[in-house]
Amino acid sequence: MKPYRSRLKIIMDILEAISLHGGKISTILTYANLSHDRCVKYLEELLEKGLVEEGADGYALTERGYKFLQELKRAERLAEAFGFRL
Amino acid sequence: MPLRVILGYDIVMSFVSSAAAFIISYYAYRAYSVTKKKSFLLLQLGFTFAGFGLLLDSILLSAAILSRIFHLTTTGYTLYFALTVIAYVLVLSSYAVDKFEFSETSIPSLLPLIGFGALPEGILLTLAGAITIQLGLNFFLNRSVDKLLIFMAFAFIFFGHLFFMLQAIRFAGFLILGHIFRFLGFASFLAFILRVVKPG
Repeated sequence: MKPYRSRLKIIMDILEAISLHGGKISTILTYANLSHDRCVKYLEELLEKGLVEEGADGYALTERGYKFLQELKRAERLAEAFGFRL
Repeated sequence: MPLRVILGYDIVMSFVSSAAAFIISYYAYRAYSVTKKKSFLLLQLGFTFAGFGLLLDSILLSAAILSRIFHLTTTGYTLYFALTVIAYVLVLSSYAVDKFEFSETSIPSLLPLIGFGALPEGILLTLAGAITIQLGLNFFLNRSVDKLLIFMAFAFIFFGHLFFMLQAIRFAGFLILGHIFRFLGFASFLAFILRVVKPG
């Protein structure tokens, strides 16, 4: 059975996909393992919050988005170390 | 060993451990502010209480020596005991976040004074033991260096309380070991935080 993935974890996967593999929607879909509709909904939310921006090559992390991703990664490590789930 | 040296050692070790507890608390707060997960909030509160317990113990012990009002040491230990119990309960409850509600701590004068002794250290030992078992399971189910450091931190703190308890029963020399183990516990927390904040 697939483990449950929280909303935060999905957002983290999307931000990480953009950060590591570039912001093409097909890449994000593969990396974050989401349906197109769900992925677009999340991306719209991230755009609204100023965490990502849309450019000629697809999506890119803003400065704020990059910092948010770093904080999320730290939180994930803290959660894992104490046995919580993010 | 002269009493002044022992007391000075006691003050310094408690102070350094409190600083480590506050650093963990800060990172737990940052994790809470980005995720809004209650478990992080409880963890943050737990380490804040632990930090204040150690800090107050250290300050009141210093005040007792400087002012020669020696009952301040008992007040200091009472506060340390009460705040550490709350801290451990908060950390334990972070594993069952939805169930927990905590009340404001009572002002010290309303609490019965608890002198340093085997019973209060035994209570702290039990609570620290429960947290250590929880973290041990977490580590052995899926091993990683981060999990090992957190498990070791509470295991060291557990042994710290064990040595404090043994010291209270009979063996005065265990005071030094108790402090070393408690410090090693907070040093393990710091090592973990350093790994997490390390860039890259």
